Amino acid sequence: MTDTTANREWKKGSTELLVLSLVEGRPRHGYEIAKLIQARSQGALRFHAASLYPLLYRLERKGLIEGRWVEKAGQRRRRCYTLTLAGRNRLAEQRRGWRAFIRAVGRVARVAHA
Amino acid sequence: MPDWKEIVRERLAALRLEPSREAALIEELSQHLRDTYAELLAQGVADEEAARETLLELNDIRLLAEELRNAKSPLPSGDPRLYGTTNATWSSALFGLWQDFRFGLRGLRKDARVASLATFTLAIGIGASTLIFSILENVQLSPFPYKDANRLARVYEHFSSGLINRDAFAPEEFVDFRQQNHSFADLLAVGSLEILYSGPEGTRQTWGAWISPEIFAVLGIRPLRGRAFELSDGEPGAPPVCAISYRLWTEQFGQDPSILGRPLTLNGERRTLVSILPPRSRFLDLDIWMPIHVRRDTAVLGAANVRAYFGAVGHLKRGATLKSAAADLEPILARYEKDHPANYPEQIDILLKSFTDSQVGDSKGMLFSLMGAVIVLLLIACSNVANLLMARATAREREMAIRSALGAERWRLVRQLLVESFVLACAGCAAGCAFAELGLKATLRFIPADALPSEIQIGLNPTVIFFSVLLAFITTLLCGLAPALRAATANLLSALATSSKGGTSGFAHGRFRAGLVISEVALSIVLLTASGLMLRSFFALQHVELGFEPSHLLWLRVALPQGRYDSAEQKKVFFEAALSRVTAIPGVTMAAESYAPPSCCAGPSVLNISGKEHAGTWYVRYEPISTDYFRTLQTPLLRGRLLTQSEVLSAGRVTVVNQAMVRTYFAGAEPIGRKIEFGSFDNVPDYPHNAWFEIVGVVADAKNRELTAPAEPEAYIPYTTFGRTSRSLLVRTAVDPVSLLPEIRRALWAVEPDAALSRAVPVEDFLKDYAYSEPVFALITLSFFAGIGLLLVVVGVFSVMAYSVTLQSHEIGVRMALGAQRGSVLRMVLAKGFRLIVSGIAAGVAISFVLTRLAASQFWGVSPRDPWTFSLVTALLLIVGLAACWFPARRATQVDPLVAIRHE
Repeated sequence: MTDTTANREWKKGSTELLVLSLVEGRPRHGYEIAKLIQARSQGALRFHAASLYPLLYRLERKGLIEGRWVEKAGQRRRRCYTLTLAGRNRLAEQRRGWRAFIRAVGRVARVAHA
Repeated sequence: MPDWKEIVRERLAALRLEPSREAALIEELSQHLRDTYAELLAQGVADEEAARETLLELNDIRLLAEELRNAKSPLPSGDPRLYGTTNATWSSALFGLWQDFRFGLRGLRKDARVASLATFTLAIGIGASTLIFSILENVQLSPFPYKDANRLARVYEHFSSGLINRDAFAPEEFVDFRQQNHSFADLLAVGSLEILYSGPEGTRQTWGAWISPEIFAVLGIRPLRGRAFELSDGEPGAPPVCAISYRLWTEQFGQDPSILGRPLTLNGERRTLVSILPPRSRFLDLDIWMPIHVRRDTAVLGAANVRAYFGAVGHLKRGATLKSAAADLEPILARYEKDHPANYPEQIDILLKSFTDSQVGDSKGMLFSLMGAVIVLLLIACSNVANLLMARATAREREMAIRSALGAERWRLVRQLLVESFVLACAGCAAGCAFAELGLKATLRFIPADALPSEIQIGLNPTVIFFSVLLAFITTLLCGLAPALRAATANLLSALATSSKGGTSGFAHGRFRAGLVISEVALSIVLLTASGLMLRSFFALQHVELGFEPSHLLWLRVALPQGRYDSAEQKKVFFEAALSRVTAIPGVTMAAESYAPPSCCAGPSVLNISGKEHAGTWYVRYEPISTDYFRTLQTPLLRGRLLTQSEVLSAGRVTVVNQAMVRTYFAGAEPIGRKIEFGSFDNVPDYPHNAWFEIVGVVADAKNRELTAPAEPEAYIPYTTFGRTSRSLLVRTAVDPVSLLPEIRRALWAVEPDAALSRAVPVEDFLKDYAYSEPVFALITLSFFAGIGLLLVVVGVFSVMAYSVTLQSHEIGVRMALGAQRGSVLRMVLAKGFRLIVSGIAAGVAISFVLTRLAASQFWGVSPRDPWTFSLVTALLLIVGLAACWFPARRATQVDPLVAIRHE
């Protein structure tokens, strides 16, 4: 599987999980989320603004995250997203599902545990 | 660095987003791009390559478009600024409004100078309107705190001669009115009388009444302390009880609660106090109520030989009008006229007045005129603020054009701008209420303490506040709608095509603002003319020929213990001694007995003249006087002689008449030696019946009704002619009259220790209170408003001219570069201002011509089209207006041609 394929196939089902898990610990703004996904996937996963923001707005519309303008001294104000209670439940649920899925795929395809 | 915001804005344009949502998206996405670009540069990527790569971030906005379309409803916890309210529910629309409100507040904070000037201007307009409305509301519209007070009416019998309105009726007539009418839900009997309260502290004279015991229920009054009257309290033989006003309780008893249940000695009779009335329930300004059921045979009350007469006040039934109820009572009156022709000497009709009209007097015309004046002032203030907002709208034209081109709906922009105006109007309303509160404190000093019924409380009550808030909404539309529509319909092309300095459709804006200036000037002319005419009428009033000299003259009403001074002889004994003692006081030059203060209140009577047959009824006012009456008043004798001391002391049948009497009834023929008879005396037990008085002298006319009315025929007779009615003293002094009061009081007590001075007032103050107070009040408030109006007009003219000079600076620069002289530039600008002002003046004069005629009743002694007033006001506005144009015109001549041309 090449990077490109991973990017396309995996991203499709996992985007929600990625974003929700990144805003779990603390609020983050869009650029930070994009950079973290890219960095932690070591460049394997990459979001353009044109696809990241629609995702953020959708999650927000579903009530899973909440965006707020945050101002800090000497900086431009930024819109930061935090996990809502509903988002926290959804994240736990998705994590359980993904673990089960990966175990199942591993058993069938004999791929090492992620 | 590329302008990322502009780039995002261009990409989003096709989505036609709601403006506030779009703004938030632009901010968020452009930051993302800025960060990406900065990071690429930091990694050493070349400028162009970094920009190209950054732009890839926005390569495909289909997902974004799709997501935004999906967002049919606002997010549960999202930021509405991001999502707007295009498809919003009610609550989110409200939230949107709230957002607009906060946005407007922020915008205005940035533009603090405009905001504070506009707020201040609106505060003046709204404050003045609130002030006058609060007086109008509390004095005329709903002054009384009684149950269904607006349906309360009082019955009068109106004499066709217009001299008298009888307001109290014999018991049998009252009972018939009450039993046989179909129009009143209830009818209270009020037989008012002077009451002397005797307590350990001394004797106090006060007013009270025999009153129907159901008054508590009928007027909805709950006693402050004690109990309401019971119906049985009014029955004959019931234990005598009474109720007292809050004022009497405070002034006489120091709010001592233990007074309740104790007996009070009223006119020599002991009555148990059962009730203390709440503060705003001093019905008909009475301090003591005594319950009575009026029956046909209710005859003698209080002091001996005084027959009871009862006023009638009650609630009209629903559906009944003053007119229909009067028609309902008319047949009852007709029967009495037929049965007792002596009591009804001429054509008499039932007249019903609303309780407010009967108590408050005729300040309605004045207050409504003032209300008109403050509305004019408010309109001027609105024009000024509209002008300011127009300038602001012009500066923001580009912003609005872009927002509108990017898909913001027009009504949405209009709403945003209107909300901004509303924020201003709210601030203006709050400050205006504060102004009104302060203004009321100042204004109320011009209203004499007892000029209004004591129930009235003038202040900012909920109705007044509601009115003020309503004004805030109206002013929002008046000031904000035109600039908002103008800004929101701005043409994108022309807005973007011009330089970013703003000022695009200057010509069209200029016309609108010129229109505002013309209307401001016109409205100001209206205000100034009205106050000019008011000033002239006040001047005329102050210089009216009174017929007596009011300075250094004291009027004192003497209350004598009842039962001991009721006959003419008893009164003579008292006043003969009192006058000689008072005259002996150093500083007193002369003193006389009279019934009423000068210029007021002499009683009317039917008149017969010996040897003169006439159709219809003749009337004359009569005044019981002592010898020195005319010398004390300094009213000149014109013919014949005055009453002599012996004539007065012997109750001689002689009289002195005024010129009006000679003019009216003698047509210039010699009146001296002729005899007259006072027909109305025949109906009063104590008065001389069929008595003819010989005319011995004629004095100059002195005002005897209102200062604005010509003197009516009047005859002066010896005060010893009859014993009834209370009396007063007139004292002419060489020093400040008030300083002599203690000595005068001692002199009266020396004659009768139980005598009381129920009123003592310098005649000048009396005139100030009763004749001048209303015109002074109107004059001062109107002039104050007119002055503020003029100031606002100066500001308006100045700002429009300054704005127009700024717009024309290029043109002026070109002209000057081509050799125009400073003088001609100055003339050009001044001429423009002059045209505006003259148009305004022309319109204002035309409007004033119509309006002053409508308000003609408010002016006296001056024509409502007084050419002097009109010319002066016109000249004043012309001078002030041109002065306001002068500074912008001067600035125009200082335009540097090079700078002006380069600026373009």
